[in-house]
Amino acid sequence: MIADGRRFDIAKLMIYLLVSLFASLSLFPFYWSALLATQDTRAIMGMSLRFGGHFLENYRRLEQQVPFTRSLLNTAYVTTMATLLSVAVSAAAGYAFSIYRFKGKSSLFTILILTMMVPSVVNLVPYFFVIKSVGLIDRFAAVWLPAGVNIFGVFLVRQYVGAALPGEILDSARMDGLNELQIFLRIGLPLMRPALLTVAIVVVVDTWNNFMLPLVALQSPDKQIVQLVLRSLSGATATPWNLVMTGSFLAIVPLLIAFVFSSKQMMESLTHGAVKG
Amino acid sequence: MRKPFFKGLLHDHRTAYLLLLPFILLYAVFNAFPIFFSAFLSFQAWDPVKGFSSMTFVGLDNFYYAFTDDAFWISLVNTIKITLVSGLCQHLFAITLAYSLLHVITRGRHFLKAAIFLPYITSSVAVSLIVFNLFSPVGAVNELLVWLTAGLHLNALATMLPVNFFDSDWIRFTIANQVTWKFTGINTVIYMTGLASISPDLYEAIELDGANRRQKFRYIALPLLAPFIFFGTLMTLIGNMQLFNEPMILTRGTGGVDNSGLTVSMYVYKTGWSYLDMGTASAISWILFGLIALVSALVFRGFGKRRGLNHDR
Amino acid sequence: MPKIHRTDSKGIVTCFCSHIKNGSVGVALALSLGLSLPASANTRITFANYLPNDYINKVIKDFEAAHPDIQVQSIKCGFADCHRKLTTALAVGQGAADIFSVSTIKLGSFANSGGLMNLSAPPFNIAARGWRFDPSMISLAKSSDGHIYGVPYDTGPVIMIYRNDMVRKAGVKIEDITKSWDRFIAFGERLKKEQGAYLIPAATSLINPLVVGMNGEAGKPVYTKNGKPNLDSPQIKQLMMISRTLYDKGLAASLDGATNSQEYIKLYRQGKLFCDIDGPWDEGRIEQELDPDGAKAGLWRVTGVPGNIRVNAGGTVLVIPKQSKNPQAAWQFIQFFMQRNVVIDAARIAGTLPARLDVYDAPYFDTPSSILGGQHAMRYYVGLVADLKPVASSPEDDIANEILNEAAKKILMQHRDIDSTLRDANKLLQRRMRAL
Repeated sequence: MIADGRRFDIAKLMIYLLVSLFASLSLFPFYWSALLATQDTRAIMGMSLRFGGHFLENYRRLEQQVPFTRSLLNTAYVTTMATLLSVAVSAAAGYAFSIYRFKGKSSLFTILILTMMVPSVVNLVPYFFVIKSVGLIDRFAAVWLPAGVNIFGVFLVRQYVGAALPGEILDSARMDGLNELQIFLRIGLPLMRPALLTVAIVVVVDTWNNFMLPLVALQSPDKQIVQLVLRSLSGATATPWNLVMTGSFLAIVPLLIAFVFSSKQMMESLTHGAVKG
Repeated sequence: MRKPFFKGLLHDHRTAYLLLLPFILLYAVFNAFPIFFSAFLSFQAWDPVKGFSSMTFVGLDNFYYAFTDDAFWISLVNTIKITLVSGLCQHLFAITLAYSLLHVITRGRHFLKAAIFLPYITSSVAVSLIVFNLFSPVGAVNELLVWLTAGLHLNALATMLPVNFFDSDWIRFTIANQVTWKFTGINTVIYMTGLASISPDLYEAIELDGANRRQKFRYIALPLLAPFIFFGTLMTLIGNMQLFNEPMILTRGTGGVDNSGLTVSMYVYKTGWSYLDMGTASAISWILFGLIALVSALVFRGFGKRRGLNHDR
Repeated sequence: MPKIHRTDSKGIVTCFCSHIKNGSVGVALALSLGLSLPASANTRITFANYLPNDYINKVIKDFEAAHPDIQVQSIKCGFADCHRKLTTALAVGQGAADIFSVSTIKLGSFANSGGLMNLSAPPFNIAARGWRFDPSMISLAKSSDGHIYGVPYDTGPVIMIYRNDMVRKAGVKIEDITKSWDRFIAFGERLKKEQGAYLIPAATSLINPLVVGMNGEAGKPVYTKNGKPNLDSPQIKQLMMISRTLYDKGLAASLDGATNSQEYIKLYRQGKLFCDIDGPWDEGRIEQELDPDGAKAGLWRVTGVPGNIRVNAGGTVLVIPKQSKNPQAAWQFIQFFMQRNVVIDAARIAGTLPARLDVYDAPYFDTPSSILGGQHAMRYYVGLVADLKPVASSPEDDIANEILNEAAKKILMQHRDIDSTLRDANKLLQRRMRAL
């Protein structure tokens, strides 16, 4: 018994070490980019490992050069809308794929999976054509509406509901006289919370960092999103790296907060045991 | 406990269609047209800056051109190599990390999870600058290698230093490394979601039978994770085969010496936007699509043989 | 000033009436009415650009003050993004800004696309505006039919920025070093032996600036001859030979890489790299990125390229897409942009070298460079501009350049035979040109 316990401890220690190693490899570049945000261009190009005292000055100049805060707010708006829409749409569609049997189900699902496999690199032109046709040019909806189609999300929800929602629950809910929509809203949705949080994280990050669609869709200077604003700092012959690093760092912070928040939520549902089957 | 799958399923077309409606509407507006357009385009010769009117039908020319292009084949081999190496690493790491974070690690769990997820959200501009520095011939990684080989008296290895991580021998490794670094976090989250779908009762039951931690992982977590392993593998396969950002950044848009870091998606991009040959770009896209679909079908098959993975109940 | 422009714009509107068919006459008429009542009508134009913000915002402010009837919106985009935006808009046939800044590297395909306004034709008549431009920029702004599609904003002769203290230490004169490539290489060998420094950063870094000067004829495309790929010309072979010699003798710090990559910056700052060959913007780069301390100590100077090659390293032009709904207002803005004092401001505020030759007499260009130890660098650049070799831009420029660089890497790194590698590059270019 004692030997067993000791071996167990070593295993646990090893796991701790391994996970910590991963964590520090992941953290290091983030830490470094925070550090670079405090330096001027000269120090950045010299890859100095010391904290500089230029953070506030960088930030001030960044705001002077480009509408940084404005673009951050725009990005936050677009991302929020995209996330709400995408999570709602994916939840409904994924649930439908998992729970119901209907005509065309498997072919529809196959089409969706196949859609993911079509490379999107040349799709900018037809996308622009579409938003032009539906009158969305220079509107934020041109960026967040397409995010509603999240096949990854539909697929993940389908897998999750399939694995976590026991049929008996549905049956007993039906016996209690709930209609199908009520079952979806009252039983399905709360149960798929961990999956929806994962979908949300992916959508948030994708939308936040997406610059291709906004590049062609959004035209006015007051409608720019943060990635484009940061990219706009690089001209033909020079890039003010200090401003780019400061902006990139500040632009990660909201994402980090969003993730920590959703991760807490997720951990809570995990530890409370969302499934009582 | 997990019961057979045939309960709870209802042949209710109306509710199903109602729930699917928003998705299908958005899909029809935003996704269907670009796909048809790209299919149409693959049979056309088109220089985009000359406008729609300059399109001309060329039949299968673009496909013939793509299949006879050396750069296409090189990019395909590169893509497959990078996909395999980074895909395998990502998933091995992710499963281990997810299980450890949920069931082994108690203290600092939030912090560690957030840290591991961080690369996924870190801006690629910031990271590229850092990666170029870390892996440059005068960078920290090479310095570490020099120090290690000297300390361990590995003279044979020491003569190979410094390693140029961006040359034709190493660039694929550097890209795979970067991809693994970036996407292990999100896969970990997916697997944690999967582990969340497993009822705690199962663990309790097997604990009562006297199972240890490893047995719990082997006999409960792993088999019940299968739908998520299937999902994750498929997503990584689809995503990595279309790998674009990392090779684009790490080769500074060139594809590397002798196209050693060129991926298919990058080649599509260059063909369309630099060579202004949108027709061929679309044709290559469809060839790539065919390949991904083929491999995915094999994956579906492999997983489908095991019980209930498609859980088409 | 404003008065002149008012009459100018009316002239344009009347011109348009004669050129635009029925439906647009009403619009043009309304506009001309609007111009007589500046307070009531408001034309809004958009300007997608990658130019320095401080400068553009000032120009726009001054322009709007002089033209209360026209509002200008600057859409800032990154260098690559701006070009992608224009490509997409031209592809779809709608959604372009009224004015775009376009780099000469990318201009070849746009100028020949048929999607831009021909500025040689009325109502623009660029030749009649009395602007005298750097001929090499005008040559680049022309399409193959000889019409001008872009108004040059700045220019950049290829120069060599170098460490003056190393030249002194070697006890030679810079003129002797740059007299020929052989002299340059010989100096590099001495430099390596005596001072332990590399001559140039990347062995391939010579190719882009120099191929334009060495290959092709004046007024003709660089990479093709009579429409056929011309990557295996004797001149390109010579260029490859020079690069290979520099690389084989270890005079280049490495094969390839952006000048501001980590390795080079480290070497520059340690005083182990002699020069960089690029445009006048290298001055800012030395001070900001490559060697700030060296610049402060006045170690750097500028001179011409070995072999006396006079060529344009690239510049920016302003274009008006045909899709623009307000080409006349866009043209008014460009005209304002080209005013003498505004052009001089471009040099003063944005630090660029204007493409208009007739402003070079301004005292500003006599200011000594604080980065280059008080050297009259601007005078030097200006002197170079007058006799740059004018080459034509062509749709295949970008592709050919990439293929040539690729070939250079194979020749240098994998020791491939120059003749056959360049022949293969020719074949590849022929293949890649199929859509153009």
